[in-house]
Amino acid sequence: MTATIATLITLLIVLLGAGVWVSLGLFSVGIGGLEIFRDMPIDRQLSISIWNTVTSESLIALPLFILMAEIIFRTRLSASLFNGLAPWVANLPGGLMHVNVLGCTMFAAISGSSAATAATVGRITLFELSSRGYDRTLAMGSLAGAGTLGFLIPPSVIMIIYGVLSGTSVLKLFIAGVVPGLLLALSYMGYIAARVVISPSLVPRERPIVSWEERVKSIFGLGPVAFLILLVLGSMYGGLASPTEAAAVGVFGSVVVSAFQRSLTWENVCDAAMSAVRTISMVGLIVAAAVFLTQAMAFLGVPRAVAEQIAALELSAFALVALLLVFYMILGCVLEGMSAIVMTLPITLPLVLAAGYDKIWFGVFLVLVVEMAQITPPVGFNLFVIQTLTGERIGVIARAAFPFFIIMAIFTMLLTLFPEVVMFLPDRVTLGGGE
Amino acid sequence: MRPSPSDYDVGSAMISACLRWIDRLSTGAAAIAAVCLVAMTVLMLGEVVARSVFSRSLTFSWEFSSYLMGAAFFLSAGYGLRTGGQVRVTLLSEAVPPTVSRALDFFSTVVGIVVTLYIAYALCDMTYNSYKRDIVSFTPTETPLIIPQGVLALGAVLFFLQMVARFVRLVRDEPPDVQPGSTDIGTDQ
Repeated sequence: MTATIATLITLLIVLLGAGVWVSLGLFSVGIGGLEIFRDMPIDRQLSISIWNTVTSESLIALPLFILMAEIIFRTRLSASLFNGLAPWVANLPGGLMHVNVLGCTMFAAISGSSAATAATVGRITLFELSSRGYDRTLAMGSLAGAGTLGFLIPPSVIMIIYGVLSGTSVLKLFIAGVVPGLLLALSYMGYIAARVVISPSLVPRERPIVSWEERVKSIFGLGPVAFLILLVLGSMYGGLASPTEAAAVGVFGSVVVSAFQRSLTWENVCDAAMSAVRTISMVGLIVAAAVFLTQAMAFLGVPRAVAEQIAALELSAFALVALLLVFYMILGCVLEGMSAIVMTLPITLPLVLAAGYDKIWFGVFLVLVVEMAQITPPVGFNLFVIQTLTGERIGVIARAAFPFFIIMAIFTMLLTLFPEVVMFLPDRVTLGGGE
Repeated sequence: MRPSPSDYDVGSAMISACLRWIDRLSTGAAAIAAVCLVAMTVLMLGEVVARSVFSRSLTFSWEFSSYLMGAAFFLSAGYGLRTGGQVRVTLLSEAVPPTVSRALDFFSTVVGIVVTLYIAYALCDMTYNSYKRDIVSFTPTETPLIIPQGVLALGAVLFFLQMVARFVRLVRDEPPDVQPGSTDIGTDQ
């Protein structure tokens, strides 16, 4: 069995390291493993597995949320978000820097992806903040950190994928992400405020005087975002729609917003659709490959063997999760977060369940892990997004994001010590019309 | 002064024409994938309206949406590959000298050709089986599965062809990946 595991891991490292596309690399390891160690008709297994995954009904929300994010990216939503939030935070310690966090938090509630959140919010805030004399490093760091909320605060593409791979209710995962997401956003704001109190030179000296009239007026700027949040989250939590239907309603809503803001041109629509298609083929193939690899590993008995070896170490549940956290942090440096999760899940999920943690809790844990991977160099999608926006070097952006990485790591450890924070809502809310 | 076209030039021109055609097919398939995506959205919206306004479910909307999703995943695969949209780990290839990184790209592409060929074969075989045994879906629509499965197989074949085209481009020292929307990917003419 050790030989089997060693072969699979070597194959995986060689193929992915050489630069074989992640989806094809995972397929190769699955096919190769079965070819070497099992005598069975692999092509049948492969085609049925692919067919079942790519036509799985609980996955339908995924392409729809990706399409929605692409449409929103081409609207003026981020500008109106900035104008709507700015008067409310101008007098907090840290001032407009908080728009990064609050903007990402609100945007995360309509977007399923973290890179899309960072790109859409950062497009406006980074320029506005630096032109007003805010510290560039803290602005980039907070955007990188807060952008990752796109995965934790529902809707969430990662949660949909985890739900499909682990057989967990996507709706329950969506509910579980809310409280940790808001707490994490608060931690970021607390950190920004503390930094600014300690070194006031990070923000421009004079504070604007904002009248209540201005604040009330500014609320209208938040209208489009509030409208979309209401459509997507409202329809789900109100029990009217499943996550999939909510995604379709969200696409419709974003088209409406786009029309209102006069950005609904034929060119924009085609661009958004083609861009979405390019992303979904990548994500779809990776998910299909991950499911096939999971099945292949199960045929080979790998998860059980690893579980037995880990059990022999007699780790406490907490030590096991702490070990996994370190493992994923390292993996997240070299791999993109989603790939890191899907290829390890067949092994790690049974381990964590055996240690007594809940499937939903582990989903939230993994989302946080993916978020950390988004901002760790050399491979971190949010770093790439901010690089595109600012033209800074990856190393500079990664250093700016590092405090936020630490906050996430501490936060994840706290959730491990107090799993109730995650489980509080999903345990209490019962919904109809879910998946 | 150009020399008169030798056999080599004619062969090279034919290969270029083939590469262009593969690009056009990939882009066309991706456009169909985009239409599938829009159709899924419309079907799901139809389902929401049907359930909330007329209190009845459109039985076919989930089923057809799932076929459209599969189609969208596979029809866009070749385009995704050509436009550099399929994720890969570039850590090593960026750290090593250009000749080594070129060798790694050759290796990856050859692995890619083998795997995509195997996937295309497996999906074509599944489609052929559905055709031979007249398999229909276990749903009220009784959709002949040869249709949605055939689309998947078609997408997988295009993915394989684009992978072969990538190999040819590497041999000819042409850039294997292009930006999306570039005129090089079959959107010209």
